[in-house]
Amino acid sequence: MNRGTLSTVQLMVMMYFTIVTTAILVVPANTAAAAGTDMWFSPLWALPSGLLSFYAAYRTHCYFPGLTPVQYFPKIMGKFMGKLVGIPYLLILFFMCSLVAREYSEFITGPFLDQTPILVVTGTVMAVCAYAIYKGPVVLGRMSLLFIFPFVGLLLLAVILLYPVMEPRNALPMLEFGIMPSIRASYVAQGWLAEFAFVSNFLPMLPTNSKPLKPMVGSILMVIITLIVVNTLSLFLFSVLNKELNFPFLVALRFISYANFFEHLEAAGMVIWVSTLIVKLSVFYYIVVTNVSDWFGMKDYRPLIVPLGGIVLVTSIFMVPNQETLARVLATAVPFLFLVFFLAVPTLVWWFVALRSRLSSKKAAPS
Amino acid sequence: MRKAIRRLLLSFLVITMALCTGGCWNRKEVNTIMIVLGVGIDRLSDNRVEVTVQLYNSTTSGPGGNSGNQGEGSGGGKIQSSTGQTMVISASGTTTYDAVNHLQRKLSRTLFWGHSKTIIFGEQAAKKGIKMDMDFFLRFSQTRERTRVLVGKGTARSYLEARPLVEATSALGIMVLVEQQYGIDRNLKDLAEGLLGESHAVALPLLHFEGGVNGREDIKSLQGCALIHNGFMKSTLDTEKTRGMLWAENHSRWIKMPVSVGEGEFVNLQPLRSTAGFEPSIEKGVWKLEVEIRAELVVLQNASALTLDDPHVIKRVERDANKLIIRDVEKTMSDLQELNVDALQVAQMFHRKYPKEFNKVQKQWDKVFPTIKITAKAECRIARTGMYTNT
Repeated sequence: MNRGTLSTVQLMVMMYFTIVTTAILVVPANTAAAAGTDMWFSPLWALPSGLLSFYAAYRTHCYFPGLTPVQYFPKIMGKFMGKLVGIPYLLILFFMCSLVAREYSEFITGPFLDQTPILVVTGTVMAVCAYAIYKGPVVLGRMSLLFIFPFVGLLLLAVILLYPVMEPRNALPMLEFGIMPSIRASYVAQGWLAEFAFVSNFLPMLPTNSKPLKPMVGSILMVIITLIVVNTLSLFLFSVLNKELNFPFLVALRFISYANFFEHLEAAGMVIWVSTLIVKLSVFYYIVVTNVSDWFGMKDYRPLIVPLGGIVLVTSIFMVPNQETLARVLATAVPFLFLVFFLAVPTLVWWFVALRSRLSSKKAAPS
Repeated sequence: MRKAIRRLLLSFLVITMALCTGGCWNRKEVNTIMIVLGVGIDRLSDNRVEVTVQLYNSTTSGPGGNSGNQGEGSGGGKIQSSTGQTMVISASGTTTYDAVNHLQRKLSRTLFWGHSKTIIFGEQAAKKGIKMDMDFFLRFSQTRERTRVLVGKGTARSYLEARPLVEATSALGIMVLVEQQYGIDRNLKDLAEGLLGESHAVALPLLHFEGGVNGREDIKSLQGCALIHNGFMKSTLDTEKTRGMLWAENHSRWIKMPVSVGEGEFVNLQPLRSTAGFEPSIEKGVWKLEVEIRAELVVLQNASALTLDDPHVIKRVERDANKLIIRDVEKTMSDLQELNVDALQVAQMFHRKYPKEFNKVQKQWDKVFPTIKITAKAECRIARTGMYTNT
């Protein structure tokens, strides 16, 4: 089935949202705990893993144009092994999609809709995402372009409005315990940046003559810059409190107050954030659905949307018992899984494929 | 046929969506909530926590409710209305949470804390520790980090019950007092940063009562500050001793500056703006801190024989004004050192400049802080002398 086409700009913005939407919730607090005053530049260390995970996915894609990972795995290691390797991938994708849904519901039910049942909160947004991917990934691309301006506007507005209460002194002392704490603190950001490997699911949809390399590197840089801005904002505002705050950026938004009436801005911020989350969740949802359908070799992925969505919804509710467990999982196990499955494995696959094609071309040359 | 079904389904969808846009799930109308304007925390003699809230009274607003029965009687003694627009109600419990729960149970409407402007700790509550109360307000999603935090001499409840001289409610009145820069300004975030930061200390503005005006028996004024260390109020500083802190925090707008230029003769100055700089240094193991205040002043009254049209005279007044500022700052700093409460976050200043040295003494900061040599420097400029030169 033809899944439609995306432009490189759409893909770029879509991937930006895919990383950044939950990263701005998760990264500041976790970076602050390990890096302290160095938290503001710590996301910079995640740049290599972002670049590598994208580049590995991109180069592998070049050997198998038009195919997604689950489709080219059998071509690399044989049908049986390929399918076998696909299974943990499908599971981890399920897990991650549920994780995103759960992060969303925790963020919405914690500070905002504290009385609303989690099933309603997650169910409604899953329904929207299901409709979006039913209409095809082109919708995701368009949505991304639609939401990028409000999102960037929100960030800029927050920076401008909070400027008077920022304390740049909070960044001192720099490198108090050397460079290591900031590198260690980038662990969570590294994991999130590794999600750039997801681009391999969308590369087949780009026009055949497109050059995604530069825009995607731009997207990675945009993510890093956004994380640095958010971390800096949190540090300048909350210094020692950052590691205690569950959602520093949200608290930063509600710290805005002008003339005692221009305040309570977090509601507007939440609206914009939810719209970007729909992009992120849809991307994950779409990846789950298409990978499963590709694994089974189905022609059309759409019959799978509702059943798989149901599984994701239920998993998201039962995967962790509470907010604290979720935060702990996000800070410890999840980045590791990301780094293994979306950085290490794709890189190995890329090297393997590159090596094999070089060997075979050498073999081919003399004859 | 298909088209008709499709249309029917579509119109059904549109109607359901239209019904949902009302947002009736968990709706909270203004007449189902009670808006909290200010919160007071007290400790009773039996160590129970008493929480007092000032509520916006949406039912009795308007001219009819303006009679405001202050004091005795209404509603079992614990419920009093301070003006027609607001009511004050309190409840006690073993913890803040417990008291808030009891408070809520007295009301038919849900308390809404999102608009609370002030949190006042009574003297006893502050002495017995505010960390647990702080935890409640930080953890609770409705209260905001911008909420002003103060300590009130006597009970916190009395301030919420008091009738403000000008403003509509006393919670608002207190917030405006703080914004006027009569004293220091602290919000929930500052409190948490101070207590969780390097010095574990913070100063909170101190409220007290002053005599009545125009038949309104109580007005509140912002005087001095309460010094909190590790969550417990250790001491208070009066207005005069707090002045140094106001200089250090650029809250100089209403600082009194009568510069004495002779026997009973004063040149009275008003600060326009000021900036404070801090220069920590460690020389041969001696920890030093230099506080430098730069201020811009205007002459409000010349109650002396000096002629102010002479630049040399102005220079002389400036020199004397400098001495006044230096005295203010050094007095406050030496008091803080004597009481061993690092409310100006000197620890943080040293941490930022000398991380290695600081980390060695971080655990014994209580021993180091009183030994720091703190000096003050001032450089003020009299910008204008007013509309007339000599009168």
